[in-house]
Amino acid sequence: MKKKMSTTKQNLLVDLLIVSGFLFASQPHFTGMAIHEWLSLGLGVGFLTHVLLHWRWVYESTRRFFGKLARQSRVNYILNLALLVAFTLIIFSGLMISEEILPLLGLQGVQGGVWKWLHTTSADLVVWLVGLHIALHWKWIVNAVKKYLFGWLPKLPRRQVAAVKHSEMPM
Amino acid sequence: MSIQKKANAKHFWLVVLGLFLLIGLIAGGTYVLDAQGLISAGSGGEQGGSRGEPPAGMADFAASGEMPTRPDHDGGEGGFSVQALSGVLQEALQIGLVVVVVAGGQRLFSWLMRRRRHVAAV
Repeated sequence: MKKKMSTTKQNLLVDLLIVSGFLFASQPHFTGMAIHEWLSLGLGVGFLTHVLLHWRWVYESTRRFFGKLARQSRVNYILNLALLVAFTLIIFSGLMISEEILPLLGLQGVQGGVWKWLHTTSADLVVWLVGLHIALHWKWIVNAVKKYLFGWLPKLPRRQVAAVKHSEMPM
Repeated sequence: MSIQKKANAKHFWLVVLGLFLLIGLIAGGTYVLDAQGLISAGSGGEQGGSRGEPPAGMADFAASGEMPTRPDHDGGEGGFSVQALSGVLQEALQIGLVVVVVAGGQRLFSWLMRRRRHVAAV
């Protein structure tokens, strides 16, 4: 029987894909316009997957938002909502000014400075929001990366670790 | 299907529905606001975000909202260059900076709290 992938590993893989995709998708000069647009659209699907992988948290936090909810969860919820709004604005305004996707569907994008401005402004804002989102989940990220990406590295026995630490101490 | 599983499925579809509803509201709301002329770009706000007629042959540049650099470059080529790569690195650095400040701040705060508790106990 095939072994099922653990939820943490699954989440980590999706998140790593999203972050690397986000870094490249936000640089159209690096990727070119066609890749920028298709990658961003794929990233949109990635975000939806990310949210739906955490649907239980979304459900419980929404239900308890005005009731009993830990402060950190409330902060996370507001931040995630801001991220959702910003990403929706980026993708929607990006579609409106699209030079590759819309023409392929036989549609023409809106030509106007407002959508371009909305696209770049929300993209600038989202970098900070993504940074905050990563920072608030930093412990989880470090633990998951240690376990699943660097888990193959041989572990030093505890005594050896203590000896190394002792030898590194300043005199 | 057990009652718990049924409830879970119901909650899952509720989240999906709410998510798409919210996305639709944000996108639709922005579209309506723009159609009503209630959103204006940071730099062309005096005309309600819309621009006047561009000069002949400049329609492409006006649509992109960027200053023309070279006549033969439309920004669609892309490619590996130091400048382009530095954009990616700059963004990664920006995210890293936020992580260092916030995660470091949290760590410092919890250390201070631990120390305070320890001092109070002594």
